[in-house]
Amino acid sequence: MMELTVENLSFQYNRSPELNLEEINLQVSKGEVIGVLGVTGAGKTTFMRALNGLIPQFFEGKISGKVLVQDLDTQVYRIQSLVRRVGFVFDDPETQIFGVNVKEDVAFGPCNFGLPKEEVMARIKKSLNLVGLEGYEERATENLSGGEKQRLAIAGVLAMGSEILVLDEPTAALDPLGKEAVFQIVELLKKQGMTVLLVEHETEDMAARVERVIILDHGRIVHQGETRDVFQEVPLFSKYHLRPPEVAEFGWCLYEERLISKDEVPVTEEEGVALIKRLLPMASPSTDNAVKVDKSEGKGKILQSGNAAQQEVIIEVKDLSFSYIKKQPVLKGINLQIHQGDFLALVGQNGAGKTTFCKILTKLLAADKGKVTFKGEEINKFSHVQLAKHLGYVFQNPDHQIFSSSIKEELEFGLINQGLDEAERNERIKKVLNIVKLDKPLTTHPLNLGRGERQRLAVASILVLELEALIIDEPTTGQDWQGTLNIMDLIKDLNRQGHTILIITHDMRLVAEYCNRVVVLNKGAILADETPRQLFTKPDLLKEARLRPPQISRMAHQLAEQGVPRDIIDVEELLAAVKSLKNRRGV
Amino acid sequence: MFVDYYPGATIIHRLDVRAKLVAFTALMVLLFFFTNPLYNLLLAVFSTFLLFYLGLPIRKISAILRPVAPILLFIMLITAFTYPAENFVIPAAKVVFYKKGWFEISSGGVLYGATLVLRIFNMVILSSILTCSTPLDHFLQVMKMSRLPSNVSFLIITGIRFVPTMQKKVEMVFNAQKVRGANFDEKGLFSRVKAYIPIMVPLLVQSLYMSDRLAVAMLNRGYGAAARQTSLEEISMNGLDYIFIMLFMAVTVVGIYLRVQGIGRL
Amino acid sequence: MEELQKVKKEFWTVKRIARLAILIALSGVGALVKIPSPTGTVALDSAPGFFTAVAFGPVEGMIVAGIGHLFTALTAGFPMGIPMHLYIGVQMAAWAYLFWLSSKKVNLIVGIIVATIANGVLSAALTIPFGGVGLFVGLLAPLLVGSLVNILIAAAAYKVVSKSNLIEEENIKA
Ligand SMILES: Nc1ncnc2c1ncn2[C@@H]1O[C@H](COP(=O)(O)OP(=O)(O)OP(=O)(O)O)[C@@H](O)[C@H]1O
Ligand SMILES: Nc1ncnc2c1ncn2[C@@H]1O[C@H](COP(=O)(O)OP(=O)(O)OP(=O)(O)O)[C@@H](O)[C@H]1O
Ligand SMILES: [Mg+2]
Ligand SMILES: [Mg+2]
Repeated sequence: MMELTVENLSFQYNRSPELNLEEINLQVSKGEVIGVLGVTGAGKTTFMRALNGLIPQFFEGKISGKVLVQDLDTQVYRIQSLVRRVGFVFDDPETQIFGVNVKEDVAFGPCNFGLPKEEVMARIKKSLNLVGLEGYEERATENLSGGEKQRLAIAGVLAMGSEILVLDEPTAALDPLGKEAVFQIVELLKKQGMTVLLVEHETEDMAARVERVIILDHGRIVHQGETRDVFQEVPLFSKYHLRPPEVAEFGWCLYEERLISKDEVPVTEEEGVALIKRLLPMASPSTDNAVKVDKSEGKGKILQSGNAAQQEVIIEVKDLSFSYIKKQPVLKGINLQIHQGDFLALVGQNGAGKTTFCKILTKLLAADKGKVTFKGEEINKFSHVQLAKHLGYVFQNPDHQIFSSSIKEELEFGLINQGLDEAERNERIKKVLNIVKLDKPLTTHPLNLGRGERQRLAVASILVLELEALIIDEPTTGQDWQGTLNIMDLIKDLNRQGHTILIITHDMRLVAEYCNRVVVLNKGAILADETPRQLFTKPDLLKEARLRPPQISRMAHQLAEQGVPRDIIDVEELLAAVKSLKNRRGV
Repeated sequence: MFVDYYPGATIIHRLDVRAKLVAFTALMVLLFFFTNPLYNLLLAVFSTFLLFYLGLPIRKISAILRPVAPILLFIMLITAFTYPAENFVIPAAKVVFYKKGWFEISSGGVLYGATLVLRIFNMVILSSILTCSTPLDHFLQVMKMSRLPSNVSFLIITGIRFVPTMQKKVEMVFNAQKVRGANFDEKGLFSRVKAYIPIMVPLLVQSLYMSDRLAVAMLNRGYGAAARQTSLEEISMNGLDYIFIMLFMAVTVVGIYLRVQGIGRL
Repeated sequence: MEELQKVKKEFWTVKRIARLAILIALSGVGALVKIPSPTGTVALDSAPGFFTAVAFGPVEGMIVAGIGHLFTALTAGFPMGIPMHLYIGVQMAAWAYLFWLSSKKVNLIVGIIVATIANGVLSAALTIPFGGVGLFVGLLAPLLVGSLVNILIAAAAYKVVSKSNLIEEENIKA
């Protein structure tokens, strides 16, 4: 018997103008671990919802075909019965935790089934052990970190005895090491014979862990196969607007230049390192100096770092300290100067204090000690209304600010607060909509836009104010690769026009590609403030801050013996380095 | 943020929540039996004693009383001035202190005002005693065990669980609008109301988005699978609790007897 | 062996329970949203209840308004004592029903007027058994202003949200 059987499944939400799933066929046997890829709106979540009866029992619509969980038809049995076999973990920890403390939360599922108390207690113990939360029973769920919350969510599902686990972007809001912890649990469960379906935008984390990959696009399975085969087929990724692992991208370039065969294209970091070691035998230290990377190439990433520093200081932070609770400082004596034209990334693990810091810059919180000046004026002298004319803050969740019944009204709000007249307002709105590429009629109700579009509207509503400096808090969370690039390119454009940018992000690949400066915040203090290139050559420092450099940088570190420079930050550079080393040695 | 449970080891703390609820209900009924302030004064002495017995810090006690104090004062004044002597039956209440046209201050008005004030005072104090000596969790367990439909008790428990989450949402929405230069100090009531629409709409919309996700999460954890959910912790009553319940029932019976006899009227 | 159950439909749907729970929690924190007014600050604690009534029908509105009031009182430490708040909770449920009835049967403006009078004047009058005329007089002005503000905001929010597809038609009819 198959664990999951999907036969000719098609589905259309009641509200949807088109089919959201089309002719899906899939068979999953026990113990398989399957990765699901696809752009935003491809139907990944929709497909997962069909696996435990949420579709069509909760999300109603037209359905044809059939889904069997073991031997149960999802259109016949209640969701509550099906979830004993298929458990879900979502990206949003906020709504999937019920208990006030950890024990209560894990118990929620088993108690709903009316299991005897002893059985419930045994299950709590077992599932907390599996996710590494033993000893957390009495901890308040409110105070858990994001990573712990996700592990708790997995424990809650395991406690119901589910044998099939569906993870829908479980690590979207986590820092690199938090992600790692969740993936390790997946590996552990795989060893125990669980069947796992994993939806993720992070292909690098997926490559080493799943056995089979399916790619969804417009509600169809457009490709599926063994992980290696799919990941080696790099053009597939650009075709479906997905991000391949850097190492595969690198390998594909080598393959295109006929330096390796297609079969040799690496898909994981280890494979990549092994491949390069094979291509470049050990250099003898005496004769072979490391090659220099050409750091002047077109992206402009390094060029700016020098000259921005000579620009005027826009924001200056002196000896800033802050705590929410007495004696538990969140920020301790921070000093920082942000220059006109900077594109600065603020990085650090979950809870490092990044958001807190930005809230102080925008006067949403008041510092306990120290001062913040904006263009030489202390920010305490500004009112919110005044400060908002110079300094913008884009929050992570667009839905916290959208309140109007049309796009136009939403964009006008800040402009009216600034006191502009109608003609000026219309001018600005037209301009900004061009920049953010939101080509919907101005009368469209914002709440009828998709999540990605709402995010762009939220960004637009700040951009339209044409502020000198922008703070953007995790603008790309939950976006697919294409969406991420769009947003980042947009911010880059603004930066080129002279706007000063500060972004908070966990994505080191973006830091490497876009920012001229990166500030590492750790335990409330600034641990490093330099260019991304400099930062990524310091593994010890990164480790202390619980950060992970981009995959390519990590590989470069392991190849010092081969003469590969340590300060490589992207695929092109590694490629150039490997090729020149190869030519030089004539291998 | 919620009414703080104030931990302690007094007898009141140790009593079962059901015993306390019975006593509380009995006392609330008694508050309305007598219009003569003497009886409510007696109860006020009793409840004030309990309040101190619980060991609540003064700061907390004043936090309980401060919000109602002006209202109590107001009630006292207005009642004293607006209840004329002919409303009362006992002679002591018929003394007129001052009279001019319809305006009359009588002893009855003053006494009745005192009753009202003491009544509210008692309600406030006794409510605080109940909530300060009992963890919220115990109330929720009583609710689960009661005849209340399980959906309703889940509703309340989940509502409580989401209060801190919604608190954060309120803060985030305010922040998001502040950095857009929203001005909440508009002049005039209607402009003010308008200024708060950008707060209320996102909050409601967020609630609706969240509720869909919450519903999915509930189903995903088997909510509604079995008719009866397992209950992990059970509260239990002991001898003391039963004695306590009997005691307050007896007090209520005495109260009813006095009332029927027409004692305690004004 | 576990029992397997077939699909069935009922009134207390999971969707409804989830929605009610969150809207009740929102009423509970409404006390944090304070609008300064001539009669003291007004907390937006009953707006979610009135919104629910017009957006999702009378039963849901009554539940959110009633239990929501108890939540607000709970978060504030039952400032008037438990019995008084239970009593007000019942009233709030009734006013939410009235608001739904008058705004669906006549129109939203009439709904606003009816509910404001009910919540402002009637509620104040209904406290007479507790606090005599004194309490009535004391509460009249702040209650009137407070309920007007809450009901206006609820109505305005409903106007915005109802134009989107967030509220399903079945609810608007119900
Ligand atoms: N409840 C719903 N009603 C109507 N349409 C919906 C509903 N949920 C999703 N859709 C639509 O179905 C399509 C697929 O959405 P789905 O959420 O499955 O995408 P996804 O691949 O999970 O995307 P993401 O990466 O953003 O999570 C989208 O066009 C979306 O707008
Ligand atoms: N309102 C608050 N009250 C108390 N503590 C808080 C509050 N907000 C944040 N904290 C704590 O302050 C610390 C810093 O939080 P902050 O949100 O600034 O971190 P962050 O670096 O932005 O993390 P993330 O990457 O998860 O967004 C954390 O330990 C957090 O738990
Ligand atoms: Mg999805
Ligand atoms: Mg943050």
